[in-house]
Amino acid sequence: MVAVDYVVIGAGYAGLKCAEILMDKGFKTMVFDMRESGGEIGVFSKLSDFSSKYEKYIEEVEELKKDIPVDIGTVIKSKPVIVNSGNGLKRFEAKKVLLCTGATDVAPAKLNVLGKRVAGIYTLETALRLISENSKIGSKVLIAAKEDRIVELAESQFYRLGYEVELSELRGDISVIGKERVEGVEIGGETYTCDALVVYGGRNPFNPLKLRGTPVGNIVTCTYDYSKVEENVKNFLSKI
Amino acid sequence: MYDVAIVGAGVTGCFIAKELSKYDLRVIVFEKKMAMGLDQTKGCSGIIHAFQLPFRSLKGKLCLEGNAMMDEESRELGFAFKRVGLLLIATNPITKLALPFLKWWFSKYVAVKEVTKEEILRMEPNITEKVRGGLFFPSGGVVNPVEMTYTAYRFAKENGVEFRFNCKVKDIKRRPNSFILKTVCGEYESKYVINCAGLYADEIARMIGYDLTITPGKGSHIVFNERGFSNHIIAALPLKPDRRTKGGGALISIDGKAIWGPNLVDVENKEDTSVKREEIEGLKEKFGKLFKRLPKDVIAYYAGVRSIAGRDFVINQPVRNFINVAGIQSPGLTAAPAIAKRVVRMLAASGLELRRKEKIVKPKFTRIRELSEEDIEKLVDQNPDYGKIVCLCNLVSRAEILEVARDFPSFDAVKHITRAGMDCNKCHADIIVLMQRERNKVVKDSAGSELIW
Repeated sequence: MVAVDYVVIGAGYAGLKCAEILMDKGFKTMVFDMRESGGEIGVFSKLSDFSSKYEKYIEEVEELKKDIPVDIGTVIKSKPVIVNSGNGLKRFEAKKVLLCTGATDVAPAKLNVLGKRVAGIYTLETALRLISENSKIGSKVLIAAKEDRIVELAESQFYRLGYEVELSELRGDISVIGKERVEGVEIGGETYTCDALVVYGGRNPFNPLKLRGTPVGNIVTCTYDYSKVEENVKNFLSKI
Repeated sequence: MYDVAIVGAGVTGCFIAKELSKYDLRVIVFEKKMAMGLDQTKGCSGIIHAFQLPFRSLKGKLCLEGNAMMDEESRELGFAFKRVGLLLIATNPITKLALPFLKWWFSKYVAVKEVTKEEILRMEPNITEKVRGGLFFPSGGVVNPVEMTYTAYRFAKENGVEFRFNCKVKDIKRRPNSFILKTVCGEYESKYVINCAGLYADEIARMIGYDLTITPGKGSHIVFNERGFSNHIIAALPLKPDRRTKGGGALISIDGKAIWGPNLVDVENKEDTSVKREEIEGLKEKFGKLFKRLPKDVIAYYAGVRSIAGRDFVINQPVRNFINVAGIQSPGLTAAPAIAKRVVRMLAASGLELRRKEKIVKPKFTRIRELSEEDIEKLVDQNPDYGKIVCLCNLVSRAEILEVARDFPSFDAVKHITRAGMDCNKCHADIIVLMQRERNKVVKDSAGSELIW
């Protein structure tokens, strides 16, 4: 079993940033990601509005991606570290494990999305991931969300991609109308016509396997606001 | 010419197909949806019932019979089945006093024991202190209904049964010694027809002139992401708030999540699976009383629509060689294997020659979450896609998702069969994009529900 000082789980902004500093300080560090290096910022950087707003972080991540070696594989246990990858299982002994696994959007049901479960209901995260892969999710989008900068960003992004967009607050029940897919949505007595519903009401830490380690980055801040993620990472690194 | 045509690929249709695939027969199954088990089956609660009242009814008998067959079916087909047990609790002095009598009465039909308040609180620490005692039925269990149906479908398919999906049956004409089925994907001739069309079994029955009415009865559920909140199927005594339903319970899913429901709401439309606010509040009130607190993290609300044809199942042969398997509401999932055996006996009695095949194929299913580290290693050596995890919550690999997606470009089928994306939304985009690339098409469950335009 290979012994290292740090295993960093997740190669998004926080994971890469931590790995950079740890490696600079001479700690033997390994970084793993189940998808690819660059994390959420890397995915969303394909969206023009997002990339102009978060240019600073995207550039930073792009630089870090060149410098930091990332192993693609899923960490399924953290003590010892066991990684499932396309080349089989690998085991590591780590002195410390950093959880940089990020956040995930709150489920639509928790935001009181009711009615029939038809096609065309997405969390903001799923919608953004799909449109950054050039997938078209409809033509007329209703974004029902709490106030947040990411929502404004998403609105202008959808608009730029040729969607009709409407915004609504999250208040009370969100009733979906439609047979096979979303045909309309009723929120607080008001009816909207749309063929896709995108909801956002905050994020939760993403660590479904309940891996043990020190949480750093968006797993703590649970946001789309990367300045907050940056602050958390800085804070953590200042204590090393 | 086919020997047997089955209309509908829900759990009953697939189990009948599975049973018939063991014999030298030409069998075909028609399903109007994109995949098997996406209608009533998907919307049910996943409970393998310990019993169904009244015991002397057809559904009561088939429930006990099906329950007893379930371990063997689960081994043969490869679906997950856990006998978690049913706990009926008494929360007031009257039901408490009735326990010894109820125990005596139930024990004539089904294994049961009386449990004390202390025993219940040990079994279920979250149950209210108001509990006074109860009855425990160890034979109650849970399955993933779509997975159960999928394994029967795969068994049938690999043993030669033909399936036509997206293929609605429009009309059936009687010939002297056969039937002509007119479908959206062509005309087919078959000696025998089995009507397992669920909510639409009445329409199919009317095609041969048999009058049957299916009334839709909606049942809504709340799914919580808290696993281990409760460990058994739990319901409160007395049992019969409504003649047509057991009244639901505080249930658990095959992976231990709390599921509360179902209720019973009459609906006009057979496709009405909308969940209403008052239903959610109703379920929370009804089952919330049984516990010290609510489970954490609502993850989904869902409803299924029961096909109700009076009080019992309707399994009959109104015209020669045409068998109705209709009105299969609760406990249809439990009864499915027993219904299949019964239908095969009916076919044999009507003159269908049953010659058992010499070689029967048993499909293999790979679920990496159930494997040891060594086994995963071996598997990844053969196919690196098993090393690429897509859903972290339920440890589902790219290979497992593609296996289902190759049969069905349906997100719901993939989600329910593999459990990928059942616990949170993190991997939904990845699954959708993967399916779109592989199949160039991805729908939720049927034509018109495209996820990518």
